[in-house]
Amino acid sequence: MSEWILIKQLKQKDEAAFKTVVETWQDMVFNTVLGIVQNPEDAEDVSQEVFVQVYESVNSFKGESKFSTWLYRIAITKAMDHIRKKKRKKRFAFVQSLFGVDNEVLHDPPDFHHPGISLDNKERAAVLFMAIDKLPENQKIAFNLHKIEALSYQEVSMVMKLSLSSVESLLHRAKNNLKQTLEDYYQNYD
Amino acid sequence: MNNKNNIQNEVEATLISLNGIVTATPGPYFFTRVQARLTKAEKNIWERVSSFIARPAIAITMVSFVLLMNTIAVLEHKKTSNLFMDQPDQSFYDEFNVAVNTFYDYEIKEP
Repeated sequence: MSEWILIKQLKQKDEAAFKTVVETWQDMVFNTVLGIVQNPEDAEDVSQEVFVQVYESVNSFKGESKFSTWLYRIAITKAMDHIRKKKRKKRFAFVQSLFGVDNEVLHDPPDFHHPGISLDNKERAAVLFMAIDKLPENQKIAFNLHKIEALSYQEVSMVMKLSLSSVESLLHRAKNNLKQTLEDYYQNYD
Repeated sequence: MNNKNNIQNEVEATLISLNGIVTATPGPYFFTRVQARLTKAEKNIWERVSSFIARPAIAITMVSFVLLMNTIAVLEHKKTSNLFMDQPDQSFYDEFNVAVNTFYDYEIKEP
């Protein structure tokens, strides 16, 4: 089914069209979200929210970009909102603990193992994801889109609505930051 | 020096550990869960409206707006009632032949 016909039917709230959209793009959305939130349960939750958002706001899609570009934008926005919400909860829990309220022990989440990584690279990839998690937001998004989603610089610039040179700069800085974090990690590890 | 080289090698090896990554997939029956979530979202529209209104920023703005309107109404009312005080209706006095006699009027002596 052509993408345009699919989108037209989706705008008419056709259930079969919506099912096709979900089945066609669920892996892409889940993989993108997983790279950012680094937790499979949270990624599943956020991915569902992405498709609910798609269904509710498909009429605002004007066709100026590819449908997948629009989907990536929603997925990234939802994933980043989720991370910010989690950080706020953590900060609030920390403040509460200072006042002796609800002295719940805050556990650091375990290392994230991406299911798509081969066995021999799993441990190294977990360390790399830990370093990716420390990147500033834009660098994290650009790195995920380029390295995990395998988007070209041009495609990344269209998703992030940035110029090509801005994307190149972001990825360059991301790589430098990752190197620094990994160097510190391996120095302390030894 | 050896240690630094080792660390550099580890860093490089880690940076390329994502090469050949395979796309992760959500659990089975993902569409069913999305549908259930969508149905729940549609049913809860009134809950969403009330939770939106209950947000502190929205609630405080609405209360402040109501207070502001009340203040403006009170000030306008005061202004209007002062206006009446300053300009008594002369026709009232003429109709009822009301003279405003002051204390000093009684003290005026004929030459």
